[in-house]
Amino acid sequence: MTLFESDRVEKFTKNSPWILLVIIVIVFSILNPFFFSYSNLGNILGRVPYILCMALGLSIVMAAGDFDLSFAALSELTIALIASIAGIGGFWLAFFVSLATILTLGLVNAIGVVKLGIHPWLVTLGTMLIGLGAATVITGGYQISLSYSQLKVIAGNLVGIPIPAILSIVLAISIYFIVHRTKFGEYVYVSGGNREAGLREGVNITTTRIKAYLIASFLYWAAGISYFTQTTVYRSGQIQLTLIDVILVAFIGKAISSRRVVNIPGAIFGVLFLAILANGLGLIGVQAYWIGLVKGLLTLIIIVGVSIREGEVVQLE
Amino acid sequence: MKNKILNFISDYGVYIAFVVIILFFSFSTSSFLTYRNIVDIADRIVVMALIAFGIALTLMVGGIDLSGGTIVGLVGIAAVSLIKAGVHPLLVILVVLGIGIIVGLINASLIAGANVNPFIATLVTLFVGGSLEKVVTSGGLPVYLWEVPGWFQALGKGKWLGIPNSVFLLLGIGILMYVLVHKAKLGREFYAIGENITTSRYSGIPTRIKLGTAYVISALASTAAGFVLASKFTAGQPMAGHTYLWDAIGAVYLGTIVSSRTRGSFLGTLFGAIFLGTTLNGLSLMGAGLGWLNFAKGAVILFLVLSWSMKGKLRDRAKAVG
Repeated sequence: MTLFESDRVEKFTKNSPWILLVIIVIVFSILNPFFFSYSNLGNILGRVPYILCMALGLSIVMAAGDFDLSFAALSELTIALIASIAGIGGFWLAFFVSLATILTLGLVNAIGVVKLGIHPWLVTLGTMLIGLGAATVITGGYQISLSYSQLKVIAGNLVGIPIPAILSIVLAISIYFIVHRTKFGEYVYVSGGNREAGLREGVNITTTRIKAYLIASFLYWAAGISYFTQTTVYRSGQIQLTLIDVILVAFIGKAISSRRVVNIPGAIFGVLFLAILANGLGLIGVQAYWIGLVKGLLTLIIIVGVSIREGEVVQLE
Repeated sequence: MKNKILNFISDYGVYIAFVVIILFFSFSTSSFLTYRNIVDIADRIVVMALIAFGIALTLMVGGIDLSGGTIVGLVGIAAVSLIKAGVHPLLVILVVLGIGIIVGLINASLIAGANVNPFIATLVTLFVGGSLEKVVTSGGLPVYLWEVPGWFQALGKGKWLGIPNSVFLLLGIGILMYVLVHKAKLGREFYAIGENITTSRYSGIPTRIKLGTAYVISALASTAAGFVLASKFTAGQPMAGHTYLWDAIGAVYLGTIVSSRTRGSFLGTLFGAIFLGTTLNGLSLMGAGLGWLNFAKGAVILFLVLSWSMKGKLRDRAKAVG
């Protein structure tokens, strides 16, 4: 195990994601000059928002020491609910009904995990299947069209940059402040680090964890909304495909942090990294399913890099 | 009195629910209690239960295995492609077992070697395997087998005394795993590792190797599931295992509710698979689509974990009183 304890390896594993990103950008720019153009950067940023929203949500929950599998399913449910209710009761009703539904499911996650002490994976697996099932039932499994004039305003461009990208930057900065610059954020990390010590210090761990789940579910809802701004059609199961991407993003954040914790800047880096990788591989003509394989193997490498320094075998519970 | 009722519900509620569900489907659909449909249910249960047995085993050592979902697909594609190419049956079986062992070893080295959280490790193998399924089938096209050799057909479609052969395979593997866990030293070591891995190591159990063994056995159980499914479809269907995976997890946790063991049990898991297989079949007969089935699975899992935690609370209370 001495191999992994030496300083040089420590430094390398800490910086390797950044080095990897630079190498990837250089390689793609050489392989296809279009990659480093202004319009392609717009492409990349345009695809980022909904993954980023989900990744921020999952990161908060993971920083508090819990887990959530339902993020993609709750975003899907948001889309399905808006698409179905907007036709009957108008857009704004759909907007608020979907928010209330997703927050309720977030509360189910929170109560199951925090109050009843059930393993996060089980509870959120349940809400995941319910969310996915409901989205399929509502849309009938058919492809549906997503175009709402109410969302036109935020779907456009501002000085060439997609507005959803600007909004997600604003959102990312606010979440950064909540998690890394407030008392609540400190409590989140206490909850994720040492709950016993936190309780002795008088930190309300229960409330902190419940709040983390609720903020996360709000972000999953925001992810659903931002999905409308970048595509015009939706079929149930589409966002669920990003499940592993989002988990990977949270772990990339953990890998590049010096304290080995999930964090917001790391998550933002991870989202950009994956978006650049997928875009670049696509531009040089790699098939979508090969991109999936590359991402999967990359996840494996990063997760092994993060885990191997744990002295003991990690077990559930 | 209130406690007695709660205890009764938490002990027998699942069985009562099972009987009610069977009665309900028998009266509401005419095709539910026919021989043909019961064979259909059995087919579904066999695949689900084989994956679930593997998961139950990894639960005993304090982990979980999600990779069964992709092993089923990989094994199916490999088996059908090899049979199509005219490879000798024995070699087909060897290659298929090899695939299972390789995936099992990958899980084992991630979890027992590199200390990766078992859920995350097997989720990643599930995803990488899924991508591989798509890569080798150019994006997810099933591999069909037009001329099915007799030996292959016998596995998934053959019957003996009116009972599908695959049911016998399930029972055989089930008994084998049961004996391994409950009658051999290995099983006691598995439970010891699951209870407390540190004390197990100090008491001289080579924990990393035993832990790895559990994941390899689990992968082999899923390999059998994939083989049966491929023979039933006479096709290698990419991503076919993923739906069975969530069902299998449901079956395992259902098993922990009916069993006195909180950490995986084979008999309980078998009951769980029968329960879920029957319910999902009945719902399909009543015209429920994929969405409703997913919804039902989610609701069942949430209901299960809630009653599970209730049972745990009751037990704690009983301990505090006694």
